[in-house]
Amino acid sequence: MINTGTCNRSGYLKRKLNRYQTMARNIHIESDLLDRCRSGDRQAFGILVQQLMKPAYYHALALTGNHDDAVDVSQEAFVKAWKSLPSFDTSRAFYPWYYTILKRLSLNTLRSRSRRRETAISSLPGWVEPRSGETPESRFEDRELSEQVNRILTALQADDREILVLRDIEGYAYKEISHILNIPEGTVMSRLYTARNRFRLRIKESGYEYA
Amino acid sequence: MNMHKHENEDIQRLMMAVLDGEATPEREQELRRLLDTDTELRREFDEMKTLKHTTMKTQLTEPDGTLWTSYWMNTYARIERGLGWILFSAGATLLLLFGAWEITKEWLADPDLPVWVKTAGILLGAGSIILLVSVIREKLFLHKNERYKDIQK
Repeated sequence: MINTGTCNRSGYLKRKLNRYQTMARNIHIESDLLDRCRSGDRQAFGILVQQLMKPAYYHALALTGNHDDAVDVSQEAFVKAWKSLPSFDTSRAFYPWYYTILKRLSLNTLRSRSRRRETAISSLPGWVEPRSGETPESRFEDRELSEQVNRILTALQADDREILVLRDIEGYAYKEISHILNIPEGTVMSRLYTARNRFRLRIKESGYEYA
Repeated sequence: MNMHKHENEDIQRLMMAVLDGEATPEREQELRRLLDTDTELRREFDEMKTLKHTTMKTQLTEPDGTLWTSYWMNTYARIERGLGWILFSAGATLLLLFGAWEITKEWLADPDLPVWVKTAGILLGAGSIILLVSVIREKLFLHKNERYKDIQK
């Protein structure tokens, strides 16, 4: 049995989460920069890529569950975005548009991976790790937990994995998720419920016991 | 039946909003009242709460720091390679067309070849062009109209 120790370190976790969020959060692109990119300015596009590479990589990682694929897919999505920029409607936000390209490419990668059957996603190295624990005991306990979370998340559908990672691991607010995925907030809640319920059933099947 | 479904969906959304701290105090109270009267719902809510805290104790594995320093260079190389391939393909196509045209001219002007062979050659060429144009047109139509065009089949 795994002791989950729910809320006793919530303040500590919040601080950790905040640090992580600031690192990967800034997805708003200034219109001046976008205009320069649209006019073919590669240096400006370089600035845009450097601003978005972390969220892009982490979002691709959530979708594909694999480091190499996440790098490949996020970079390829930038290439596709660059090629399609002249037709991009600047009244829309850039990142949600980029994210649709990223998601399509990620789903293609998952499909071709399952078609080739050469690498089952479950056999890939862990892409989720514990946030650093305070004591060796808690670190050990957290590692066990994170391995379990890794297994369950990996076994879920990409859509479920995507919404769970955005909310529970990356800590995005509903409004932000709604913006990134371009769906209403009500749908965010419904999708979260479905994903959490599937997660709950799968973790129960794996023998998890609630403390 | 439909109303029951909507009601359920509303409760599920409310549960998520409370769990994630996105509900107003009034809505939160509303859920607390429901939880007090429905033990099954209470169990579901508590389990989801525990699992949420479990998931929050994890983070996405951080990649090696060198990824970020070379990220733009690698993306730029991909863009450059794409342009390289376009120029290479355009050049190769033009040269191939020129070569085909030169060979055809010489072949048609050859007095030793019988007329029926030349006619068959012309028909073969015309057929190939029609087939090629037809395939290209179909591909373009699919690309414009297919909803999931970016997802490979």
